[in-house]
Amino acid sequence: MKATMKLVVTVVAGMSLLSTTLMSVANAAMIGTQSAMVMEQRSEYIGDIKNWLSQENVKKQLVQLGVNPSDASERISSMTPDELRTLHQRIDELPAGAGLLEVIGIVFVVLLILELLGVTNVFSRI
Amino acid sequence: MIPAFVVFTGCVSHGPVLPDALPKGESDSTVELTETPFFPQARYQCGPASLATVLTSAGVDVRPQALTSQVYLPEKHGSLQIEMVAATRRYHRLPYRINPNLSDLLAELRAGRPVLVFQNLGVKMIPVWHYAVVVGYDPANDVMFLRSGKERRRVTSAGLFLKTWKRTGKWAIVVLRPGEMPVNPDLERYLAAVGAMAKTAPPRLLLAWLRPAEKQWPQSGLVQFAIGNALYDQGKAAAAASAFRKALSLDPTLLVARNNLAYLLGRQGCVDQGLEEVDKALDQAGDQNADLKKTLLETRSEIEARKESGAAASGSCP
Repeated sequence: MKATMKLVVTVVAGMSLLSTTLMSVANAAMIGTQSAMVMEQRSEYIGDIKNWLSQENVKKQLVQLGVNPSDASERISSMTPDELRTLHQRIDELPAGAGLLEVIGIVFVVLLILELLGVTNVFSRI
Repeated sequence: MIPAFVVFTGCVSHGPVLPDALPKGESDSTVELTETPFFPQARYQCGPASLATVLTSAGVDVRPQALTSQVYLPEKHGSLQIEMVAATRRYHRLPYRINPNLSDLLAELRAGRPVLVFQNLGVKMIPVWHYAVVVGYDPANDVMFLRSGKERRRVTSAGLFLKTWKRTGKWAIVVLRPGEMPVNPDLERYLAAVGAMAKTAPPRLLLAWLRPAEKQWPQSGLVQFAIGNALYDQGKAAAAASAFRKALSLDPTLLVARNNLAYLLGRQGCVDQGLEEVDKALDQAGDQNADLKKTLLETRSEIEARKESGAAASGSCP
């Protein structure tokens, strides 16, 4: 019962925060091209509410990873619902391109051998 | 010892890679986009550097320093693919993921476009994720030319490049100027890419990418649907309605187009026509697609509400 109440409160709180966001979406029943492509591909379509929540979640995650809050808002502003969902669910495991190796000892030796065998391309000038 | 290791790692094949990926008649010519700018990467920052390279090549004046706050994640010491794509949109350039094969990558280079690639320079167990920009290739020597890291012109054997590229599922994007299309576009991926720009770019730009799509796929209802959406966002209701109708004549099962047509008609005060379209769509939808059906019902109730409030068409219906 308590859990249910909490859920209701959360949803209502979410809704009130949402109202301003949704107000700006004048064409609530107009299907955008992006959403249509998702529907056509029969993958899960994310409605406005879910989308807004995942935006807020991803923003928090970006801030936790060292992005300043106003940059984080800008960064999520051009993401699609699919991209937001992927980031929200998998941000920790997704590969981040850095282009720099920081390994020492035996791992270094292994990589050096692999490099000489033409498997890897870590070292720019050997 | 060494031969045993070679067999173990399975890298015995050393035939040239480029000939198979080139069309006949192109197999001798070297391509190199020497004009492509170069920004040497700062520590961990191959993301901002390579993104600046392709954006600048597509006519955007931007430096890696300005992109760091947009694509770099300090705690992860790197940049995510999704963020590279999303940042490109904010500069009003269309990020398009090309087909994951070498021949399409080379074709983009021949069309004069550098290609941003994602590589794993290490191995699966010890990954070294890296963004670089491919700017050319030389079939005679079977090598690729890259703007990579701190090297303006990194020369990598095509075979080794392919190995490092395969480890990311051959992920590569081109950055398209308004009106530009990739050499070998995939209809759905292209339209999804354009649709994803709707939040960041004005409809005028979306149309610039959709008009060539109309030429490429004249029989596609989806293209007409996307054009209808952009026209509607421009406030051109009549033109949008005719695009939606064209979409439906090409593909009568395209219910998203019927929904938008119905919605538009309702907004124009043509409530009876709108109800007719949405009811037709609801009949066709059945129970197959719950999300679509929900939207159709929302559209219906919105038109109903307009009808009850006595809204009437101000002029003739589109």
